[in-house]
Amino acid sequence: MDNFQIGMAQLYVAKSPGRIRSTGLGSCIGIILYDPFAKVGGMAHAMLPKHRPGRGDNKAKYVDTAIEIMLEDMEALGANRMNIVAKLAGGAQMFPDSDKDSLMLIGEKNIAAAEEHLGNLGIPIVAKDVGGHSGRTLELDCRDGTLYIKTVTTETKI
Amino acid sequence: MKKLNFNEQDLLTEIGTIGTGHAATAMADILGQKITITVPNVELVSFNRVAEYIGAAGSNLACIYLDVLGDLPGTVVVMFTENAARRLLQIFMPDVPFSFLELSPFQQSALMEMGNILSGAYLTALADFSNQRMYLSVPRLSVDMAEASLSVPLIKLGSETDYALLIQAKFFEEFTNRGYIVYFPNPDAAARLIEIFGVGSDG
Repeated sequence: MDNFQIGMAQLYVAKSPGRIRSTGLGSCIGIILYDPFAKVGGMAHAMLPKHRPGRGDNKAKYVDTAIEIMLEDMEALGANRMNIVAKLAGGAQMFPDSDKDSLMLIGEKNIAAAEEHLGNLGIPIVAKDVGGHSGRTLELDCRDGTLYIKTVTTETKI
Repeated sequence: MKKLNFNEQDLLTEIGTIGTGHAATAMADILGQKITITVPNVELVSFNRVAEYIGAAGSNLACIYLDVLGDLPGTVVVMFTENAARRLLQIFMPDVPFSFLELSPFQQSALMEMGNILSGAYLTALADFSNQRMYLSVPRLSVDMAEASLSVPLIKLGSETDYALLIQAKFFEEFTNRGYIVYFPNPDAAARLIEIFGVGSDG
């Protein structure tokens, strides 16, 4: 079975039976796209809500551009945009004693940006595990689109 | 800024050595025993490789985060392994039971104060050496996966660049009692550090 590991500001798409994993999402947002008919999945580990030109070239770093790239890459693997659904995980506030600092609220902004951008594209969000104060390790099973989520104390799947 | 030249790397290593030497002395004073500290690593690393480069990938760590303000803004992160945190807290409060993922408010304060002392010593040395003003914010603590805690300083850099310049060292009391101190200067501060010490980009 193919296993792919991505890190911060990276994305990957794969066909069944591939698995895509990302360790330790904090305030970053994990955006998972899946076409259940083509069995093609994608995961992005995005850091910031919106692409701004001239602040680095890596488009996987931003929620909006990461979604666009994943959609194109998934279509190249045979996915149909009309069938694609989304799951979201991450966007935690890692350092809780800091409610006035806007940087510390970046997790919430990332969640809102992902919801807004997916909404504009008409891609339904079928499940999410977002916010809170814990980091998450994600693993997507491209055979059925299940997303496994681990924190330091819990395990779940959506 | 994509790659450091030899002189820049050498210079920033020297700066890091001064800072970590002071931090080690501060920690040794508290613990009452000798602390070993590594020569700092200085590297420009893409975000996905930072935790691995520090040597913290896949670990649960106590991470103390401080904003650096003043002439050389950025972030300092002090991280302790579970064993290091246990050892430190036993010194401060020997009778309190230790559970790494469920620290009491007092234990959290003690670790934050430790991070404060270490990063304060580190940055005072750097500020004195470079004749720059540097201030620290209040410390904040997260006990979690290293990558998750590191997302916060990296997101701060991420709005300006695709790479983190990190100046980092490890300190040991015993092998398992390991800590890390990492300074992430903002891109402008990194350029300023190099400029202050008169190293041209063409060496």
